[in-house]
Amino acid sequence: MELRLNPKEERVVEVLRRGGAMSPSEIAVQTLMLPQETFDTLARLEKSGYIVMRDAPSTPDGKMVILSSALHMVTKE
Amino acid sequence: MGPRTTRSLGILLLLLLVAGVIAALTYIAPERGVRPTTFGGWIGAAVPYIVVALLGLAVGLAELSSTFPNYPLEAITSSWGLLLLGVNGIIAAIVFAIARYYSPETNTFLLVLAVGIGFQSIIRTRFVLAKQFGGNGEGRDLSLNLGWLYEQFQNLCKTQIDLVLMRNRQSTVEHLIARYPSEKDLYNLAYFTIVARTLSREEEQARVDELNKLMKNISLPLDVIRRSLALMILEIGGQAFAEVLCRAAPGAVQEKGVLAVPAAAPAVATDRDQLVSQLADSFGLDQLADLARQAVDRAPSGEDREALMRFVEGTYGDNRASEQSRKVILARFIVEKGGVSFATELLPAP
Repeated sequence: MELRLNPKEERVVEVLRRGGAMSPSEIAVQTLMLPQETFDTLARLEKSGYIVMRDAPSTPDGKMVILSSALHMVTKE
Repeated sequence: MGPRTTRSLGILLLLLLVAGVIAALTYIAPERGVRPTTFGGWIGAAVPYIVVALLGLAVGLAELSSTFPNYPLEAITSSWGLLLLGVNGIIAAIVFAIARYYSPETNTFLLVLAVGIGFQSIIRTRFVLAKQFGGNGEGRDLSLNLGWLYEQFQNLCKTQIDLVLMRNRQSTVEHLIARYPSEKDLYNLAYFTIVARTLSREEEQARVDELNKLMKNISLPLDVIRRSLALMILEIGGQAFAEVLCRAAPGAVQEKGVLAVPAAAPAVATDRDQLVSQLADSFGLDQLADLARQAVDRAPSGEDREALMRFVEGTYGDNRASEQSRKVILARFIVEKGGVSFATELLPAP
């Protein structure tokens, strides 16, 4: 599977690969991307099917982000 | 009495029972009808019984571990699992004694093989004497099902073991959810349990698919998601691993799947998410920005402080994002870069 990611998207995917499920604020702090920049990148990745975002009331952001299973093996290689 | 003690006692009881039956059979049906006179002679006479019983136990073990692949140890050491093993071992020894009684001249080695393997096969066999044309071996075929009785016993054991396992599963799942109420932590634990196991590539991918399918299902209530995740951790990691997790401190899920497991959980939970929420609720955006600037100085050595400061200022001034999002991100920054103790000190006294 060939990934077509820009550098910002690559950073997010890498952080998720290393850290597992994260909230958007964790991703922003880990990648040092600004808030709206982070949300836009996440929205693009979700639209492309690379990540899954779902409600998570226990996190301060109310959302959690995980890598899609299709990316699991690709990023492992 | 703990579960380990109960298990050990059960295994000991099973071994004593099988040994007792073997001793009695060796006395009743010795080789060629001659009872030995020395201790060594008795042991020698018991060896064929021991081998036959061990073969029976091995078949029982294989049946249990293949029927309950996710909980083999728990299934085997449950009372009904031990009963199934005992019945397999003891019946095989009894059949060997009968066979030896009726054919005392038969070579012992051949008899051990015939009973140890042959008997186990026969009691699990269904002979089809006449098969209907195009039939699938069921229905109107004329058959002799020698395994019927054993099949019924097997089904009874399976049901009873399943009920016992379900009770244990329920209790462990409850403990896991109590210890890790966050679905994010549960997901990470489930994910790293999959990755940490020595699974084949396909198996690992299938498990991750199953995990993500669960997370994608937004129609499922969160409680169901949490329970399913906890059950997945239990099934993939096993009972012992789940118990270790239950004993681990809250917030013990670390980055990169390294799990800190102290001997006892601390009295005060240091959950980072909780701390972030408390900071975001307690301070306004301006105050959080000030605290985040202070956190930059406390960031671990090796971090690019200029980049961190740019991030703080950029987040503070990013008007395209909502104020709440910016507050949460700054609070997260304070906890991650300033450290948990720094962040905890900032919180107003309750």
